[in-house]
Amino acid sequence: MEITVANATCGNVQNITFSLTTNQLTGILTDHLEVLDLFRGENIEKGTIHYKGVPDCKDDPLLWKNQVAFLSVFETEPNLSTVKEWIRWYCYEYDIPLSNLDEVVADSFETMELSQDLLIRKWSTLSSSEQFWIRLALITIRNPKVLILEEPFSVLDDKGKEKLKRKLKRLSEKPGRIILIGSRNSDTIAETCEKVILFFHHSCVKVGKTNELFTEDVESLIEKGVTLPKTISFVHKVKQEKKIRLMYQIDILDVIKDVYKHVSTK
Amino acid sequence: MNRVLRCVHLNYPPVFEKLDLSVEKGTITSIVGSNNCGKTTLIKLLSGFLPTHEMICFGHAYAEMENKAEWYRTVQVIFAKQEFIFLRPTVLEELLFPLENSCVDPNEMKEKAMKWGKEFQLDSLFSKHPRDLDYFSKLRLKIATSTIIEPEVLLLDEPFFSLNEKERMKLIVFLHRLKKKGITIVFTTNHLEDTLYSDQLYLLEKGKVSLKGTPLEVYQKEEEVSHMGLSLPFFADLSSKLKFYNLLDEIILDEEKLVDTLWK
Repeated sequence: MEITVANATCGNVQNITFSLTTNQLTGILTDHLEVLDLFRGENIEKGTIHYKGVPDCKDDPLLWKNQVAFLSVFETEPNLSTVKEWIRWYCYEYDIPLSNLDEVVADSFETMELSQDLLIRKWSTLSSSEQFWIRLALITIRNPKVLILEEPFSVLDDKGKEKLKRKLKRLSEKPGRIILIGSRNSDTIAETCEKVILFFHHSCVKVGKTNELFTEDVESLIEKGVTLPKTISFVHKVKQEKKIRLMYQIDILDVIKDVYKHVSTK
Repeated sequence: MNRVLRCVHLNYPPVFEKLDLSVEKGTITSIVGSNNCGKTTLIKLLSGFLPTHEMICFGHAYAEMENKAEWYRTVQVIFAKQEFIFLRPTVLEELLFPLENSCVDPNEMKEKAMKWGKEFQLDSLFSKHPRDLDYFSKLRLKIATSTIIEPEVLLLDEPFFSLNEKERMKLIVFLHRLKKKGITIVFTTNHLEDTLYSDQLYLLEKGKVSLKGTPLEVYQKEEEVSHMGLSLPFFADLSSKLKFYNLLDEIILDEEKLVDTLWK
């Protein structure tokens, strides 16, 4: 499974070309989340986006919809009463068999460490994090080949973030699956993803492994308006203002070790 | 300073039990807590959206008062995670709408709307339809329309949700401008990073206030904060760790000062 984007134009995003392979968490760090529309396939005005092993969205829209799943924290839900009712609506929408639904839902809730008590709650009384976890649990029922998440960490606290990182890591290990995380927060992308695509000012600035991408050629990233992780910005400031030769590192503890060397040997 | 809100032993079972909250006039108060600790419920209670037997007062106004217009002139609320509803076809008309409802002199209305819009950097968007704006512009417009009538209190639920670093800093500047105009601001957040510029903060845990104080006072209690599943803001965390290695004597929240202290 892989995704190939060739000369694609979608809204303000012009002539993008790159490819993504499976079994790794890929982050899309951007200034405008509209770039994620590119992955919805149907909005492409020029060029192509090809999901290997998945039919074109225009040829088989239902199969495509089930194999390429989107999860956005900005989504609003139909005004149904309980979570259980909402799940049934969701199953109709995505053509999920209802025969052993209770069992399947119970399994997916267990995987996401969710309480079964949530099923009888009214959707409107759930907190945004609970709504997020239920949506993710239901997506796993669909077993999609591609999972695209829009700002998934924004509704979660730090414990929730750690839990989501674990779950996404596990989900990405399934053979043939691609997980894309779209965010405008460079820190969460740098902490979570193995590979990053930088989209700034409607164009693809750079694609690469997270560690290399943020630590090499930082000046050019700044010139292109890329928002850097806080550790990298701090090191850059020290280098600029104090002419200290700290190393660009993403992990705060690595930065502190380096600071310790330079301050204590001053 | 005048106290604008005081809740003593607020009960709202099963979420809150004996919650104490006090907010001074013209300050920025942040309410922080992990997921499902009741932040949104608290904002709903304070804004009168959820009924309670307790009396929640902002100055002389209270949610159950008969003069609803007076209540809405006193307290405005924004839920940033819900879709914003705009009723007018352009940004400028949307700004005029609350002024029309408040019977402001028609000769002054347009001038005030334009001035207020400019303060929120909306002037280049006046002729646009609100639905065509990006999320941050919509949020700015919502805050501008809620505050153009200059309420006493602005309640914001998760206003920093989904903002990038630059937008976050801009929003902080806007909130401080409102504070200077005497508007009291109370907002909720999952992240301590958003609380850096507030005057006081409350940390909620299991329906109770577990910590309160100025941001610096709270950040110094690192163990209690991390026990609640929250992490310190970047510079508080960095300087706290540097302090542990005896490289700093105190927690420094300002980047310039931190760098200058390390390399004098």
